[in-house]
Order: sequence, then structure tokens, then C-alpha cells
Amino acid sequence: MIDLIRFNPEKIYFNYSNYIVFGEETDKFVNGCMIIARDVNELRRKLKESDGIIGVASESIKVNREAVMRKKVDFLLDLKRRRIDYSTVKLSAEKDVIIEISLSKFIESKGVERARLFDETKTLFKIIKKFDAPFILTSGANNFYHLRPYRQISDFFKMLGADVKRALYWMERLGRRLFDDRYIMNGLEII
Amino acid sequence: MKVLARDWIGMEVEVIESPNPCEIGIRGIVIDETMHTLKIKSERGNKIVTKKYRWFKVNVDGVYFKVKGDLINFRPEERIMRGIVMIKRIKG
Repeated sequence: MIDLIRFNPEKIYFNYSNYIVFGEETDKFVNGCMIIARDVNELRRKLKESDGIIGVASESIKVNREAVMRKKVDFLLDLKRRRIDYSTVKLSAEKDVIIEISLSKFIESKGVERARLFDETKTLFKIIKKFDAPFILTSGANNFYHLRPYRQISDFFKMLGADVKRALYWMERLGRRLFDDRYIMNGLEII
Repeated sequence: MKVLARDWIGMEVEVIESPNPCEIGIRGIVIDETMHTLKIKSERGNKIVTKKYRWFKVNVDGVYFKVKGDLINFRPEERIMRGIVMIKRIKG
């Protein structure tokens, strides 16, 4: 079980096997490169300079769509005001870019904003299910207090219509891709 | 990775997973290939095995690969090109 977080904790909590840390340097866990871009040119410039596990976080639909089409990009990271449209989800299914859906944005928001997030997330799950796009459910924690066990995260998103078993499948595949030397791609392994 | 893009005729193959239990364990050399099937010359004669929903163990230059049949479920001439495209899309 892997969690995607935004800070470098002291140790692993809640029985996760590993963390992928975006936005901060870490030696203990897997380091991911987080790219925040406001427009497509900025995204291209930052992608040229980046390497390794790359996650793109943007509030712009155009930037997210461009990010999904890039081979270098592994994740579409979650933000409070992230916008993903129909075609981006379809492309992510074809290009094997994992869409992150995090719990922390719900914790940080309240009132009308939270209700809007509920509505958007429900629609997103329907589109993801339609195209069988890769997605994972994470805490997206910015600090220690946002960390949650996977059971809590999955129960919460199940209420919003997420296919939790499918999310687990994508998470296991991600784990194999990162940590299993014999795994090449889905359907091809070295024995 | 080149296993997807190369011609399978002449390669040693074994069926390791199949929805048809009678096909599991068929081992031999591929003598012919069509869009959806592989013709394998085994000890018990020539066996035609569908590619879809099967897993094959393939020996390529001494390395054994486990390949899902869905990845090679194309005409041989098309599959070579598609294999190259798939290899380019592999992440990590």
C-alpha cells in the first residue's frame, strides 16, 4: 500500500508499505518531483528540467491535458481547484497516467466549497469508471494531521462512488512498477 | 521488451495460464501464427491455442518472459509495429 504525500514524515504510519513524497526532499522514502504549472509553456519548461517520478498539479484544464499526453508524467496530482475534463480522463487511460484523488482537500475545505468538491468527485469517478482510467485514492497529506489509514480513505470515497477494488489494483500495479525489477508493464514480466 | 515486437514463429512457448485447463502445460515451438491464434508443435502434436485471455512463458535469448496473450492479439505483421509503439509507451 502506497500513499502520496506532500511532506517528509519521520516514519511510516498506518501500515503503509511506502510513501511517495512530492514537493519535499526525502531520503527515507521515494522522492517524487512535483510540477506546479499555470500554463503550458511553464509545464514544458519544467518538464525538461525534471526527472524520475513526476507528478503534475495544476488548476488549468489545458495544462492537465498537456501533462497527460507527456510520456514523462506519471501522476496527475490532486489540488483543491484542480480541473480535469472528460478528454483528459480518456487520455490518461490511453497514456497510463495515474489520477490521484486525495482526501486532504476535503479536510481543508468547508461549506459550499466542500459540497462542490463532493459533486465534482462523484462525476469524476463516473468518468473514470467509464474509461477504466488508472486512479489511486490517497491522503494527499500536507502535514502529519492529514494522514489517514487506507481503510478510512477507501470507505470515504466508496461513499462517493469509487470502485475501491479497482483503485487497489492500480495501486498494486504502481507498487510493482516502482519496486519490482521483474515487472516491465501490464501483461509483461520477467520470470 | 522486444518480445512484443518480434516474430514468434520458431520461439519456445509454454501456456501457463488459460481459462481452458486442458491448454495449460502445452509446450513447444511456434510453427504458425494468425491474428488470434498460435500454432504450437508440442510432444502430442500440433496444438492451436487462442491468444486472448492466456498467459505464455516465452524464452527470448535465454531470458524467460511471462506475456499476456492480449498484448500480442494482432496479425503478426501488425503486431511487430504495435509492439514497437507499446515499447515506446512503457513508463519508468
